[in-house]
Amino acid sequence: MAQGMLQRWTTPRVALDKTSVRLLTFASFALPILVWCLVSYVPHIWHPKVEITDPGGVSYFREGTLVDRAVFEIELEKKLKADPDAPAETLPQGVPANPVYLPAPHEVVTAFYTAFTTPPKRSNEPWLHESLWHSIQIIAWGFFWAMFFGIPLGVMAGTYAAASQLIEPFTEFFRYLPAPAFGALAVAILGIYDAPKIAIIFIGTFFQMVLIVAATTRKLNIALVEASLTLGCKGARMIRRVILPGILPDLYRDMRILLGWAWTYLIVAELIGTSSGITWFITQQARYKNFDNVFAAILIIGLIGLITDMILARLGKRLFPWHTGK
Amino acid sequence: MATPSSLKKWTTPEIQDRNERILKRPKALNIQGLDKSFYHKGRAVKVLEDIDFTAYKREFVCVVGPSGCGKSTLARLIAGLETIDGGAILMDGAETKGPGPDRGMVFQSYSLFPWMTVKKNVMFGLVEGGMSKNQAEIEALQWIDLVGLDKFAESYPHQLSGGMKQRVAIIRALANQPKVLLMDEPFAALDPKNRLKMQQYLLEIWQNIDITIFFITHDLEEAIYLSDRILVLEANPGRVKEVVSVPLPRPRADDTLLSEPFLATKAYLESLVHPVEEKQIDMEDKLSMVRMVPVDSEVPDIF
Repeated sequence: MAQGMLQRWTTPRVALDKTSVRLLTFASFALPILVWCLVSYVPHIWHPKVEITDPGGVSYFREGTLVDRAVFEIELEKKLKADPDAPAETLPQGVPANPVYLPAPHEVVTAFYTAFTTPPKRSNEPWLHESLWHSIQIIAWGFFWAMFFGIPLGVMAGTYAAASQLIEPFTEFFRYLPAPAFGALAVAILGIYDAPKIAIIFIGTFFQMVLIVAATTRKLNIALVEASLTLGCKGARMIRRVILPGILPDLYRDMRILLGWAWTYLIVAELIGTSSGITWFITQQARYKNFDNVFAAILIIGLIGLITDMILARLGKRLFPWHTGK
Repeated sequence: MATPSSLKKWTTPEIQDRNERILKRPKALNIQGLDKSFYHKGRAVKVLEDIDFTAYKREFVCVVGPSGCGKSTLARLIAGLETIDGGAILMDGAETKGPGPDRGMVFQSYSLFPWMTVKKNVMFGLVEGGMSKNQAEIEALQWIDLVGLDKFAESYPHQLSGGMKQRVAIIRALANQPKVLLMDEPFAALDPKNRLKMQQYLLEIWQNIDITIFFITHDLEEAIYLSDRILVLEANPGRVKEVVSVPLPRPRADDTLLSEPFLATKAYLESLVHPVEEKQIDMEDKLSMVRMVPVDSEVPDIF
């Protein structure tokens, strides 16, 4: 049984059984978490710092502060040299600790809850859920406009060679321009609030989208187009009745992938103009050294992405029952 | 277009009479001096040269020839899926321009719309032709019934077997009431048993409706079994080698595949399509390959 499983894992391009799928999916998350736990909870794997529990007369040690292990040992040695017979209670004491920027798993788990319940420092600042909602709106609008213009252009370029030649060379050039580089320009044109952020998401996804949609459209089996031609279908009707429905499952998959890209542009977009959304929350919390909250916020972004994608994948299977591929 | 001497003795007066009557029917499809080249790395490669052929109303024509003789290209040119370099293709005396519903086509790869049910696939051309949805649905269901797929009207193509898919592709083309039905090796992907069944189906349908069939195949038996006349092409460039009238009575007898005229026709076509020299070169290639392969001494001789 176990051997059969192993053989299946090591044979190229063979589908897995259900147990293996569950096991490996679990391991895919469990392994990184395990590494994190080991680094956090097992002393001396890393723990480069010492958390002071008793200053022991060292002038700049305070209870609860973190110092480098080397510094702590030098101070300890100094004390021992001055008075070799000093009782243990009077010496500086501390426990090995990790740097403040690597909180332990349980701290981050708690932060998942407390980050939402901690009121903002100032009354005019948003709560975490408000920041998140703001981020989601920025993504949604940026992505909506990218789809609104990108899909029609991509489908045209994929259908007609002339449209492809007109649209794609410039798009190909423009997609190499880094979206964040347009930040200052976007602010100058669109102001400091949400519009420039939406523009950055748009620039980051639109050009890629045109090219990907064009490639997807070109991949549609030419025989379907030819069959529809011999059945008396042409022009705009063919795009509506044959090309669009034909590429829809692949188009849907493309949009899922591109939506992931939109999230990666979010952080840059939100730093432009007035910082806002989840990025504002993260930078703010980092400033207060609440790194557990920072981790929680980053993981929340990941979870939102993963869950949306899973929902969309499920929905895709429902929407396109004829589609056998992924 | 004289009957070759080896087939003359099988051409009975009745068959002769029928063949002559076919040639007196009105022309359905008229190909005049057709040329076609493809460009490969800047060089023109001539695929078809000066093709002249006429198919008459309700005739069943098969096209055979060695691979690379451009028989598929010929069908695609007639369908309007490729542009013509020289010459003309006339339908009922009018020159064709681009694809149109008067020339239906069935492809080897079925090319059914995977997102449509069988019924919607058959309705497609009817709705494109301006028919109302309700009327199209009624007609589509009649066609589906005709080929015995009424239980699968709401199924998607991926749920059907190859033979069933091809039946749907055929009725999808026929429902549009084309004047000519072009078929590009439609049964090549089917197993022999299904292929024979589909051939019988096709003859049955053809006998009962007003349609001219232009059928591309590389299977000589299929060509003889199905057609009234066989257009034999030669390769590099594709040219008309001969047009053979099949000396078999209609409707085909059950044992026709083993009858003497059938075998004689096959032998004759074989000599046209695969001239003798070609075969010898093939054999020598194979023999030299055999020498390269060590023989398992446990089984020294297979004879």
